[in-house]
Amino acid sequence: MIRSTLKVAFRNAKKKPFYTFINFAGLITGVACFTLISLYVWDELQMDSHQSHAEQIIRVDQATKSEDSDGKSAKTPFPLRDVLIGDYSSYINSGVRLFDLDSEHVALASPETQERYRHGDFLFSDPGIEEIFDIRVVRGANSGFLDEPGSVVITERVAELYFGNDDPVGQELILEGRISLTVTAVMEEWDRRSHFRPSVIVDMESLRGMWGNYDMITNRWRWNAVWTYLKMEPGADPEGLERQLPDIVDTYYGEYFSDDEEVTLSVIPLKNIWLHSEADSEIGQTGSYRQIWLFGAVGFLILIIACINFINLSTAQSILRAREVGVRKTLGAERGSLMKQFITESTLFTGVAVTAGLAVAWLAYPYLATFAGREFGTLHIGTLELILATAVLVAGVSLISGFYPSAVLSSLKPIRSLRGGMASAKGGATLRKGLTLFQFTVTALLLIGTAMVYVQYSHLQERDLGFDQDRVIVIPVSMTTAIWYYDEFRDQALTHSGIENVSGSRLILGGEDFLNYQVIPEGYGEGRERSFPKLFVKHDFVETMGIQMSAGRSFSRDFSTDPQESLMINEAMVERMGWGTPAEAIGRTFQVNDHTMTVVGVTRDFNHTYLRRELEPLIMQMPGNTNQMIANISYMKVRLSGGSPGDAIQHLESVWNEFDNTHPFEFFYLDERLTELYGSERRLTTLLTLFAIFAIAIASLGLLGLGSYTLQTRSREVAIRKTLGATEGGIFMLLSKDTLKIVAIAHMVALPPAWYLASRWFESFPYQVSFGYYFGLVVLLSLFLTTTVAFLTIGTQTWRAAYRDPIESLRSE
Amino acid sequence: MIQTTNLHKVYRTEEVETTALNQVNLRIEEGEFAAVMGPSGCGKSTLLNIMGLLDTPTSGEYRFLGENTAEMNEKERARLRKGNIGFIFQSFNLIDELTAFENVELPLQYLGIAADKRVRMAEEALDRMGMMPRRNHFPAQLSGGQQQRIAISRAVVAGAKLLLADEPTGNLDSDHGDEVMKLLGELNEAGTTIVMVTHSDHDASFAKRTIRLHDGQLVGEEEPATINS
Repeated sequence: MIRSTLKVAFRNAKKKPFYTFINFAGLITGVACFTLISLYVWDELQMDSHQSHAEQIIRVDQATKSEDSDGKSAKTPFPLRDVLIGDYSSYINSGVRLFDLDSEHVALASPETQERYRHGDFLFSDPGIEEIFDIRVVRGANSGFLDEPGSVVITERVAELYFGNDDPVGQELILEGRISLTVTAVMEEWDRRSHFRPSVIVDMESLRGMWGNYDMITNRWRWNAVWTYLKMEPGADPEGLERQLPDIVDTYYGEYFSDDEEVTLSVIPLKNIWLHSEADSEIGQTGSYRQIWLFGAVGFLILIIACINFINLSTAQSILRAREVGVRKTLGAERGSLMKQFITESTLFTGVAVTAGLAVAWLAYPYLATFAGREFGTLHIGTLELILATAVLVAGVSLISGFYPSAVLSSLKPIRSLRGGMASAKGGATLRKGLTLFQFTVTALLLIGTAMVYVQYSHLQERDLGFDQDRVIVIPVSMTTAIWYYDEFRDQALTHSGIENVSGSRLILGGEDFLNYQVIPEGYGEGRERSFPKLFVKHDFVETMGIQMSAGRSFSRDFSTDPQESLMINEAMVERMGWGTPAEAIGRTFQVNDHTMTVVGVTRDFNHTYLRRELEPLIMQMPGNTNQMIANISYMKVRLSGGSPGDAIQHLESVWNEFDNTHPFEFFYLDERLTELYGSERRLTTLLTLFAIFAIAIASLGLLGLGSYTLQTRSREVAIRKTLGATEGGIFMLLSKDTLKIVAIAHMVALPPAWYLASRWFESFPYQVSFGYYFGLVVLLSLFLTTTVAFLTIGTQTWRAAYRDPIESLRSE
Repeated sequence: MIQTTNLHKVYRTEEVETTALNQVNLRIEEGEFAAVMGPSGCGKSTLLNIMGLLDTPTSGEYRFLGENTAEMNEKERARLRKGNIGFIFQSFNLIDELTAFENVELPLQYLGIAADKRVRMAEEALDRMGMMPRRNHFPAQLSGGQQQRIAISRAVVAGAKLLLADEPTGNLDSDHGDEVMKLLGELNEAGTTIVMVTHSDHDASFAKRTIRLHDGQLVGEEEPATINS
């Protein structure tokens, strides 16, 4: 019986290649999109889960709230770990602090091979990191590799850089030209699913060689310097620990913080860091729960749209087979066997489509991974989870698409179905219309949603940053010798005609966290400190970065006391202090470290921190002495004049090499760095748009199929109307009316949820486009687009039907 | 074989009530070949459908092979129908996606007959109708006469005791129509009971008995004057 069922199914499919194509194309595309999105979402949800102790690992975050700032940091002070382990040993098994020197790079060199490189993915760590995180050692000791001061663990890739094929264990590496380290182990690259992936780990005690006042620094409670990761005792409750943390704040933080500053410590499980961390100063990149949710929803909706297509077309098709059902019943088929036949058929179809969809996903995966800029989910392809998910998918879709027609058809009286399959097709029409309406509602929701997300992201990316990011080269200088010779470097650099300006600052701008400093603004009494972000800058900062002045002047060499006595602030600060106009703010003062400093200039607001964050008040100060300079100027900014940058860069490199032979010359373009920073976000938006287009395509395919089915069932009506004198135009309108009605109603149904979801989404952005205006525009656009696509899809068929010779239709009836 | 007592069938729609059969009392014995005649809408096809257990009477009794079918549910009627009743339709009602052979084999599948036996029985049935050379053709590749012969093979393949034919020559030209009528005559000679609905006096002349219906009522019965050969 199965064989005959399959035969009929196959022959049916072959007989109507158009429907078969539409049916398959829709479901295959839907399954492929869904699979790819699921893999991505799954991968994001699994971040850090691969760690053996993933369930036990937590990180301690610190939130500091005051009148002027409210932020949560992923970093905590140096002394916290020891206090936690000492006081809460029943909760905590072990813990490590990780530290990155707040620096872009560290320089390593091998005295043996003379190789020297700068590494961005380096960390200082307490001994025992291997007890918390999985570190697979390929050479050297499996554990205890950071126990001795001066130990360093490197990945295989780094080992090869310095030592080629030689055994690196026991070899020496020089850190920053002065600290001797010994390679104690070589580790595998960290799993790509880790939220941080160091390639160089140096033992924490080695910092003594860099900081003469190591003990003082590492006892400070004021500086959130390290990431504190803890491994809980098996079964210990992190929330229980979290409830104890206010005691720590009371006992240890008190004397370092003023009364109006409120410090809260919290814990975040390792597995939540990637998607759920709300803290700044993350150790690495993090994902976005919101984006994952959005992607998941889009994937699911695409699958639903594809399934509805399949169900709609299958029911429409099978109702055309009512006569066959009548014949089979007359010949003795029972209801059960007919249902079995239809469900088998649809299972077969969905099985084939799902398999093909998976194959398409497999083929498309590499392109998508390249586009998304990262791998996701190769580890899962072909695993049990996917096979199970596919099985459930097939079963679900085939049950739904097979069950309805089988239930309806098998219940028909044979007499009725023999008398005319077409007549009995009416029953399913309401269901199909309902499903089509639902499908278009979902499509409209997707379209509107995606367009709004796109509008918001484009707005973010095209927003005026307040500084000119083009033709600016950034040279990381922290810990280099070049910084000691800043002025000489600058003078020599400027001798090249391709170099317009040189300055320096603590941060790159546009993509980092700011450190808050305590100051006492004019009119505030002693002890009334407020904390604001402060940026250390060198002369010509405003000019080099193309920042506009609102009032006063920028730091100038004509005023030799500027480093000690002058400040610049931004307009947001003027507003926060209630100082009236920018001009009125000139001459106001701040107490900074017991010095009175005067505002000499007010700049227009520029984006000094993440684009996502609201513009905050900012203080700009020059380093007052060499120590401040070395500690606080991490980047030189070089503005190039027009023309080819190659020469200018070569010039910079030769100047660099005169002043620093420990650190190889490195630089990056500011605009490229910013693009890179927000690139993943943009790529995801593009992907989202792509998937939304697929959704529309699938829905259109369904419309195409259904449209042609409707025409088929209404051809007699059209013929009769035409013999009675209906015009072609009238017929065209008659046939298009239903579709247009569905598109319009779908938009009306989609409006409230789209409005709600989009406005919720927008709430999280400080810089919003004008919501109502864009929403209205996007809805009109979506309506126009869907109507156009619907018209184009069914228009040609409708036109043909309207022009068909009525006799043809009547005869074939 | 067939006995109806006060058979009554009413079709109701929202506004109209149509009496299709009105107190029909009829008896058809085994081995008969009866033609049911009457103008359009007189209830011929309704009577045939009730006889074939495809439809149920509104009231009255219908006994088939001694069993009262009025109380039966669809499943029981299907069971009784299977293997006992064969149908021949004006529009042939072959399944387009199945070959001639597969169409003929289909009722045997529903009877649960083993595959090898099915092949033998279906080939025999096709052979009797002279359709073996066309066994692998699809309906669309056959002429109307050939399609109806396949339909007859299908109706008799399971050894039906009763053959119900609804205008079996209605879609055929006269030559092919005569061929079909001859085949039915032969089947009747071989012992199959046949009830045939027809408009055609010519076709009715092949039957041994003619039942006339008018407005759902039995208005007369006659033996045919001549039998065409």
